[in-house]
Order: sequence, then structure tokens, then C-alpha cells
Amino acid sequence: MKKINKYLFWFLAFGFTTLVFVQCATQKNVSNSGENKKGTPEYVLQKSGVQIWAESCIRCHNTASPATFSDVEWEVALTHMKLRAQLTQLEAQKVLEFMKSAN
Amino acid sequence: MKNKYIISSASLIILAALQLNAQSTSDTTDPKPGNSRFMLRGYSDATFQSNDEESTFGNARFIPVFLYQQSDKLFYEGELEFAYEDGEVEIAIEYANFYYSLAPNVHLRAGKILVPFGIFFDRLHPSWINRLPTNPLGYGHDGLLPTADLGIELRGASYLGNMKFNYSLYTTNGPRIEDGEGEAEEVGMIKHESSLDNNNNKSIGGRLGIFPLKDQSLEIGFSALSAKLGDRDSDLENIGAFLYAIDWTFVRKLSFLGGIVDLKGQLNFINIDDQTYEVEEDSVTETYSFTNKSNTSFFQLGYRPTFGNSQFVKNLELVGRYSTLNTPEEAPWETESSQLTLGLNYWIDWRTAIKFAYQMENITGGHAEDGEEPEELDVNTFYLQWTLGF
Ligand code: HEC
Repeated sequence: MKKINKYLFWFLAFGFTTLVFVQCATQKNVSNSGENKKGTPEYVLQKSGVQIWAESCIRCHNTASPATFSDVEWEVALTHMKLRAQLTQLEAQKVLEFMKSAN
Repeated sequence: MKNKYIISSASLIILAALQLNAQSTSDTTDPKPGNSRFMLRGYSDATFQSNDEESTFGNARFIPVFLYQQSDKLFYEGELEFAYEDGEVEIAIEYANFYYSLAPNVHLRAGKILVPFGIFFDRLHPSWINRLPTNPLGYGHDGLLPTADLGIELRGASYLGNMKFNYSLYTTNGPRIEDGEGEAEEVGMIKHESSLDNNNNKSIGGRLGIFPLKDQSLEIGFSALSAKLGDRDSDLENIGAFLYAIDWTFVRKLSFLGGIVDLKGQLNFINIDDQTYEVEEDSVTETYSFTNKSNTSFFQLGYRPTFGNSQFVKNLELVGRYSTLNTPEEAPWETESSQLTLGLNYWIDWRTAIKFAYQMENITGGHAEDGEEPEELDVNTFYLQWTLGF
């Protein structure tokens, strides 16, 4: 049983790493400006910032209203959430645009 | 040896990636006055608790979080905890790490990191996020599960076909084992918050979270952590531990229930290699041999009404959590505990709440001596906590 667990673990670990570096390799030349859409499913591209805000920001804590922060503060907070809460670049970008338009 | 190899190749890859990235970096932000990319945030809380034994204003905490965005790629987060309890101020660094974005969805995190083993510590432990004033069984600064550790991690999120996933892979100094010299009654227990790195082995772990639904309302996570626990050159040097966990999150507005349903939980399995421990207590050597497997779990359900016009009702939240902890039979720290916590919260804003909770805990076992029946203890405690995020 324990052996199987270990194999499973290494298999998963190997899987993650490969995935991460494939990602890295395919995206290294893409700028951070949100044009990075390769590999993103169509339904995600079509989501609006307000939609992502409504469905994603509530998963861990209560949703912050756009009025909470200024534009600059939202930039820092959403970069923080992108990293900490594992949002994709595109999600963070879209939510940031929505926050800036509605605060 | 193997670990050294892994770590050096990981650093090589990271360096190579940094090199690649450096060529396209020209985006350091220019911090003008009033436009600084520095944010001081955090939270504060205080708890009152009352049961048959005591009734007390437990502790008060002030927890500042420092965030600094140096450029599009480099970000720092650090959290201090000041706790006032029993007349003393305790200070701790909860985490202190930087992030470097290697690619839009690949981030390196290094420093003292919150270990992403499941969801509780990484995401839910701040009191303005935790729906209840207490932690589930097995979590806490002296629990069986990892909290924060020194190390490096790769994390991010992306899509696999149509499905979103997030990942993290890390290596840290890792836990150690209680050999009985420090705390005889905890011999064989895994210790996550060791202040010293006791061996050359690093722990390796990861978490993969998948989002089967397109609206991200459901996330299922799988975590694993593998480590060697023993001190360098000791009899216990080769004891290994393998921990794994499954977690879930389901948060969604369900109109037929007139509110937001918030389901979260985590199952944890802690397996440590078998070993016979010899402990000297009052100059008598005791021998302990047991199958060193423990498990803990929690299941939480929250409900926040959204129906009607009353803002008062909409600010309320009902929460229930059931949690279990089972540690090895025959270990001096053997226990079979369960805990049911019921809570009512009133949210003043998204990060400020008053929480009332009633916790019923049943603890069997504990440190029973030979020939004694394990004790059974029921403790019911009432909690009142206020928490404020700023
Ligand atoms: C995966 C869980 C998770 C998700 C999803 C999430 N957050 Fe957070 N958020 C956290 C945690 C954890 C903290 C607390 C950080 C700390 O204090 O250590 C936090 C803190 C914050 C803060 C306080 C300031 C800060 O940066 O610490 C803001 C603002 C915030 N989140 C906004 C958002 C928004 C907007 C979204 C949606 C795009 C979001 N969060 C989605 C976990 C999450």
C-alpha cells in the first residue's frame, strides 16, 4: 500500500513538473499583458471580469467589492491573489480591469 | 544524495528560466509617492471562551501582512503574528517569502512558505477567512499537519483541455520525529515546526487541484508529502513519512436554498515507518512499538442567506463543522477524538465579523498508562470571537 502511494506520488510529481515546463517553454516569449491566450479554453476567454469576480473571489473568503481599494491597491492585491490563490494570468487581468472600472 | 541531486537540478532549471526571463524584463514599476506598490494589510482578532473549567478572554492577536510588488515579476509577502496570551506577547513569523514569475502561469515562491498541504493552512486559517473561531483537530502549531516551513515552491494555474487546474510542487526542510528525549509521551510523533533542520534530507511535496465545473464552484485537491524524519547519524535517521490528503471546496449560490452554500473539507493520512522506540523515563527504559499511522479530517458546511430584503439576515451565516483525529494505538499519545462545532456569524463587512460558536469535543485516550482504561473526556466550550481584516 505504502509503495503504491509512493509510486503514485512520484508519478504525479513527474507529471506536474513536465506540465509546468511545457507551459514555461510555450509561453516564455509571450508578454504579461494579457494577450497570452494560448491554451486557454474558449469559454474562459468569453467570461467577463465581473463574472470571474463573482464566481471565483468567493471560493475562499467573502467577495471584496470593487470599492474596497484604489486602482493601484487593486494591482497589488490582485497580483497577490494571482500568486497566492492560484488564479491564471488571464483571470487576474480580467478581474483587475473590472475592479478598476467599478471602484 | 538523491535529494541533493533533485535540488541542484531544480536550481539549475530555475536559473536557466530566470536567464530567459531577464531578457524580457524592463517593467520595474516606478513607485511614485501615493502610488507605491507597497501595501500593509492584515487582521486582528480576540476570543472569549467558556467551559466548565474556565471562562476567559483567551487571547488577542494582531497580524500585519506586508505586500510589496517590486515589478510585474517580483512580489513579496510577509506576515507577522503578535499574540497576547497569559500576560505575555508572543511574536512569530507566519510566512515570509517572495514570488518570482517565471512565466505567466508559473511562479517560484521561496522563503518561509505556508505549506500547501490541503487547503486549511494555505487558505483558510486567517480568522477573517475561517468560518469558526477554532481550528479543526490535528491543525495548529503543534498539530500533525504541516503549517509553514523554509523551502522553495513552484505554483500556478492553467488549463488541461477545458478544465482549469492549479498546482504546487515544493521542497522544504521538512518535519522531524520526536525521539522521546524532549517529550517522552510524544515519542514517535511527527513534528512540523522544528526550528532546526535536523538532516540533509529535504521533504518533497505537492498539490494538484482540479475544477471539474466551468464556473469554478467545485475544486478537488490532492496533496502528498514525503520526508525523512530522523536526526542525522541517529538510530532513527532512516524513518520516512508519507502524508497525503484530499480536499474539496464547493461554494455556490443555490437559489432553491435562498443562499450561498459553502462546503469545504479535508481528509489527511499520516504514515510513518514502523520503528521501536526506547525512552528513558525516571531511569526506567520503556519500549514502544506501534504501527505509526494517524488520520484526521474535517467536513464543513456554511450557509449564508441571500433571500429577502433584510440586510441583517443577509449578514448572518450558519456554520457546522465535524472533525476527527485518530492517532496510533499503543502510542503514548494514542487518541480517538471527534469534534462538532456549530457557529453563527454576523458579518459587518467582508472581512469583519462577530462569531459565536459552540464546540463539543469528545477525546478518548490520550496519555493512558499500562493497565489503565483510556480516559474519555467530553468538553463543551462556548466561543465568542471578533475578527477584523484591514
Ligand atoms: C484560493 C483561495 C482564494 C481565492 C480564490 C481568492 N482569495 Fe483573496 N485571499 C486569500 C487568502 C488566503 C488571503 C489572506 C492572505 C493572508 O492574510 O495571509 C486573501 C486576501 C485577500 C485580500 C486582502 C489583501 C491581501 O492581498 O492579502 C483581498 C483584497 C483579496 N484576497 C481579494 C480577492 C479577490 C478580488 C479574489 C478574486 C479574484 C480573491 N481574493 C480570491 C485566498 C483567496
